[in-house]
Amino acid sequence: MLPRIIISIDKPGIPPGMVLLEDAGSLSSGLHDSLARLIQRQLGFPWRANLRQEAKRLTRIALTGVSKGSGVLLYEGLPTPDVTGRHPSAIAAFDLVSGIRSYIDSHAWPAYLPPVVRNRMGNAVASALADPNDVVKIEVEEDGLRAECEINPSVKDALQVPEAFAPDEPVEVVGKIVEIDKRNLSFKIEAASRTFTFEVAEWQFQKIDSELRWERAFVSGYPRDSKSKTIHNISDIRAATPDEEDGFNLTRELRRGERTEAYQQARARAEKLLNLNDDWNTYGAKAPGKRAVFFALHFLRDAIGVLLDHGISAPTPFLAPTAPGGVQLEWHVSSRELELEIPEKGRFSFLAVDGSNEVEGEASRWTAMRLLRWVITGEAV
Amino acid sequence: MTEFAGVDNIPDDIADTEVLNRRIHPDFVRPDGSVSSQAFTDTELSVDRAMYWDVAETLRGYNGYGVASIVASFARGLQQEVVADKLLLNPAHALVKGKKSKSIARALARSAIWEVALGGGLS
Repeated sequence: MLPRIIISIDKPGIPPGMVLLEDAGSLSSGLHDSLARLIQRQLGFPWRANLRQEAKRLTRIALTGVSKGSGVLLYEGLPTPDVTGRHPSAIAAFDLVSGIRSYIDSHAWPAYLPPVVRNRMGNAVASALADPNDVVKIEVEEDGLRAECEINPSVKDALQVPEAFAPDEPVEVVGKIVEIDKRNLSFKIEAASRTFTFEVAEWQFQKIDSELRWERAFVSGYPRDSKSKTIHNISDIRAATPDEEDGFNLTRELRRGERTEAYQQARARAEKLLNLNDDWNTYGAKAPGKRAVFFALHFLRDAIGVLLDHGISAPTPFLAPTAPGGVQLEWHVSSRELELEIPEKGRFSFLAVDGSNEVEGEASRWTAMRLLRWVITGEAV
Repeated sequence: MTEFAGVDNIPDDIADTEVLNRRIHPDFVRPDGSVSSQAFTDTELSVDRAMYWDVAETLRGYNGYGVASIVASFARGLQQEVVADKLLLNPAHALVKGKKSKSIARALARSAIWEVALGGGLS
């Protein structure tokens, strides 16, 4: 059964069965954007960046009607190509609802509901919460599971609190250099619809001026202000690699998976595998390719980060080299086994075993993430 | 350990009961000592017929490797063809031929028995 999301608006003066277009438009676009952002994060991309096509593609949800009894907007998830498990939008909607409930209970936001999502949802409900007694209720249903939360003006205010950056918390920006100011030893980068100013030392400025002028660059440093409009104490400036997407992020958040034992052990093992030469197995195997191995490590880092957001710690996988030059990550947790093969950068194939049940095939990044969560927790994919 | 019959007059037909040895690179061995399915993925999986080829020969020159064995009938049960592939310097050489899905490779790995554990000590 396809998931349903129901948003009820209790707004005085609006007849039952009607929703102001202003409210419906704001709620629909805000809901879609919030769910897509949550899906993007569950794909392992915590960057404050533009929405990826992959996240948009997985946010297949339709407005199916307005209930006649009251001000209720009905949404349904549509079948999503190459997703055979739970609907990504439903998973994101359950996270949205449980994150808001968690805040109502504890007055602290869970890590899986980041400011970029909260702010969008806060803005989405703002027009429907003009009066102090107004309430917006969100319900999610999927295969017998159900969750709901209520957003009142106070919760809306909390949702809208903008992200604040600490001056001692390093940040990273990837984007195009659009302005260079020789007199003030500064330059500007455009990334994810924002413009950042960087204050640099003279030698750093010369590097920008001579090597990176109007190029895409990676810069890390420290915020001078709470909005991180200006970044100083620059620790790294270099050309951005093609793999690095434009965006802005907290180094701590992006690399949270790197600090885990599971990642550290996997990285040490991967470095060892990269020393293998062609014919390493004596039966003609290719040496593991750097691109495949580093992609596997980055995927693992990002997946561990997503799991950490949900309070789940990942066990160390076994890394096996593959004869065609890829790498396979293997987990065995109670009766569940997962083999996740990365034959080359960006591709996954898998074998999932639970007792006597076996499933194998190609996997998207989304499915690979869900399979990893399944093997650790036993949750439905 | 399989009884050794020597390399003279090795039959082309491989009996269902024959044990087939495969050299295992240390990087295929998990911390618990089991073998990864990736050791058994080759479409033409090279093996030595244990009855006719001493396991020490399979390991000769490959210090640090191990040898694991599978049984011909088990491979055939997975829709694999088990055929002799005599080589000039290894007349007991054979192939386990067939596309190996991840499930089949895992089944072969799980059926494998260590003949020589990693590090070369004969069991």
